Amino acid sequence: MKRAAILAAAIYLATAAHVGSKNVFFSGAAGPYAVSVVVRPPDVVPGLAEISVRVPDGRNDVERVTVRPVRWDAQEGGAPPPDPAVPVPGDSELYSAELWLMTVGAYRIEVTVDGARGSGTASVPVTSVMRGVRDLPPALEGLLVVLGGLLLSGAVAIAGAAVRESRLAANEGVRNTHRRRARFAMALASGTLLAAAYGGYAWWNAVDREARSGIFQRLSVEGVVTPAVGGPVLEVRVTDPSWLGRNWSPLVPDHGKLMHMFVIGAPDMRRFAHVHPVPVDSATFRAPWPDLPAGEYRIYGDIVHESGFAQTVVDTLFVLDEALTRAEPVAVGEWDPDDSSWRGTPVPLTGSNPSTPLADGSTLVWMGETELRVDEEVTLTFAVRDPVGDPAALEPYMGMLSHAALTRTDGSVFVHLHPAGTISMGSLSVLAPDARPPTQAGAVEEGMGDGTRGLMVAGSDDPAARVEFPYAFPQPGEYAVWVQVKREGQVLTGAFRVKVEE
Amino acid sequence: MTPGATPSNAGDGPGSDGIPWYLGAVLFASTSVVVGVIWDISWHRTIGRDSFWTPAHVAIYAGGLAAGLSCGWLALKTTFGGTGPEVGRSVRIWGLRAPLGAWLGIWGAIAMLTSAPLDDWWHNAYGLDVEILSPPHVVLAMGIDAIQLGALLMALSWQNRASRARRRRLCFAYAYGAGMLLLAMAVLTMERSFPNDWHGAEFHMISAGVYPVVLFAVGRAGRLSWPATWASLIYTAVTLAMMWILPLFPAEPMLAPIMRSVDAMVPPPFPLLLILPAVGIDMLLRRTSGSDRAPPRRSRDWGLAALGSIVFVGVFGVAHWYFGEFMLSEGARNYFFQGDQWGYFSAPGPWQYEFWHGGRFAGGDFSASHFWVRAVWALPIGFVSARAGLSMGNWMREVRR
Repeated sequence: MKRAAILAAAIYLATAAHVGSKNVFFSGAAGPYAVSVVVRPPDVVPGLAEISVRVPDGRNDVERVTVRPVRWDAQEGGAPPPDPAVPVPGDSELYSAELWLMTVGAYRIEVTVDGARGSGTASVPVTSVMRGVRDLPPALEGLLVVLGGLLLSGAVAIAGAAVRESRLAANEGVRNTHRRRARFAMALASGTLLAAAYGGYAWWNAVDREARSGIFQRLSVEGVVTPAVGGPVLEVRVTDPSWLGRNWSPLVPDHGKLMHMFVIGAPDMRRFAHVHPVPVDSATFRAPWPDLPAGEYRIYGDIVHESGFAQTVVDTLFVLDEALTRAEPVAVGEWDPDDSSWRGTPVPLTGSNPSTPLADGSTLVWMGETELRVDEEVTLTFAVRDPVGDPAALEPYMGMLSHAALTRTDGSVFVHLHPAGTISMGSLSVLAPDARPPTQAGAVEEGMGDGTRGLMVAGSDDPAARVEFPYAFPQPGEYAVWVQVKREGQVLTGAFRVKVEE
Repeated sequence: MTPGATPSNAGDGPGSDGIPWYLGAVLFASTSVVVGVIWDISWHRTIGRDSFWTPAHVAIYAGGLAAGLSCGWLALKTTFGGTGPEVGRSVRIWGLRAPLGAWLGIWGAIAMLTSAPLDDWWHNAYGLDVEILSPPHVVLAMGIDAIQLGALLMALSWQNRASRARRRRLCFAYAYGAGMLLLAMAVLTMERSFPNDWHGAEFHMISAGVYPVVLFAVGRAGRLSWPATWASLIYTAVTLAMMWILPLFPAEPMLAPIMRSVDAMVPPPFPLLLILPAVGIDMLLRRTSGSDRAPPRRSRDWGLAALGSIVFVGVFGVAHWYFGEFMLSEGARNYFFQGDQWGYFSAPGPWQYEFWHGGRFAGGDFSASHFWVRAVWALPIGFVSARAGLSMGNWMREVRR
């Protein structure tokens, strides 16, 4: 029991990725089958996760799709038998299922597709956390008050009748002494029942408080930019007592980095950087401050714990001129070559195929839907053209063809996307160590095992210069989307401004 | 003279065995709900995932329905078309007439109905509760207990009205109802009553609060020779039956994470040895009662309760202290005793074979003196419980409606 409590505490303390965007989008392969998976985790734990699986081959050779939750510390023997995902009527490619997530912590959802081409499994990392507590709907509250009143008054009436007449013989009438005693009993019963009802109310409140205290809170951090020898430095200190008390499992690298930090100029969205702070002690991370001016910034740091839990730490920075002007120029060698920064104006989605120039003269083109709605699953598609207008050859950027970051302009949503979706590659490597790393070559290999599509399969007319990200915007409003690709050793960033309707 | 005895029983529907159909219905309801709850607990420890229509749930609803419908019908029949004797066996609430036990049955069914939407919302608001004691479950338990108390009182009023010649079956019906009530108490406190709890003061304090009130009330009001013993025998028999039957059914967990391999329904723990203090209580009541187990002067009940508490706490405490050691040993890990049976969600560990010292509120002090300082509180708790039981028993002896 004690051990279980410690375990539960440890699990609670390791958790959730992204900000304001709980649904998990995954695009990859289950063996020979391409799959797109959406996991909608419950707000409360234990609770039901909704899972939809799209097998978009259109060959109609899929016989069965199953899903199964496997928790990080339970592995194979600790997972229930797979549940069938049922075909969704009217859509021959779509299957849906519900799965219970019984505890907070890191799970992988195994999605297995059986069909004429054999069987294959994809693993989708999911973090299960308490996200909130629901309030009592007024109609139910009214019903409970009525029924509760009936039960309380009924119990008092029964107590009165028990004292007044239950001991009387069949032909015996009720006398005044009986009535007096009954009144006394009813008063006593009323007092006792009201006290019991108050006790129940207090108990309910205690459960509610406990549930609310179990709502996931990301690790608290403090970011600061300070002048230093060699140039200004972004320092991120983890100030959370639970981290300092070593209640967390250590971090593991994701795309080879312990922390992916996105620095976003607020509220204008005209400044952006993707840097990789490295630990200087157990609670401090540092990265050279990118080439960005003084001002207000929001920082979002993606980290992955040893159990496979991914979470995003958040803070707001106020960078003073003084911190930057006192600095000396940064020698190029001190930068992480994968760090990058951008300044410009996100291009609004007007006209057909809006585009934005990239630093090397090439162009990033928005290819997908421009009218976006809340919770509508979309594939954000971008093409990269070289200065001549031909499809540009892209190089992998930290193991992926592309990275994207998107944020609601008020900061309430932040997501780090890959062509494989919203999942953390660091979580995947922990939770499904046998899963093949994303391929670099361009196409999903036939017959590969648990795989994600690092590179999207593009049509032959548009080789490898198109990047796609599966997603659904969680709230209406203005968003900024940054897309990063790599060409000839240079990281290139382009940005769009997106309006999402209700 | 027992008013309402044989002559007035004529024509009111009792079968040839003297048990009217609605008394049979409420006794069935009483059994069905508590068996359903034990089954449901096993379901949650084994399979985990459930739906509205699991057989365990159906057993609970069937019990609620049987109690609500039969008692509701009885109230309507007695109020609007009751014969003289039927009206003479009823009490009046809000202008309607029914036997007291039937009112409790109706109340219990409404409480069970109330708990359903609350429990459903509770799961959505705070997550599925994988525990027995939660506020909506307590509302459900109050409903179940009311149905059982109703069945007990209905049987009791028939017992109290019956002539000696017809009394025996009704006495057993009453003892059976009392056994179901004991079973419900045991289920409600199951989370704190595993053999691993038996060396903890908390278990003895809870037991001293919960069981003497039932055993003394049943013992005082029963017209059998050994009513408390019979009731605890019925509790033991039903628990053993569930404990032996459930594991015969293969089943597998359907929820992750699965922390241990489970291939059959997980049974409830071995029944508590309530039969031992029950024999003691019956002996005590026999020695201090007059003919037909008539109570002595009321003033003597205080002393009797004090003595009764010592008997209960002493016999129950010593029995479980040593039996607990056996239940955690290898000797109990077999089909007969069903020791060491855990749900799929309990990660294996040495805790299975250890006493959880002092219960969960012990505060980390596991010393023997700490145990005794706390366990001694079982005596005053048992005293209050036993005294309340005697008072209830005195009233129950006279219940005729």
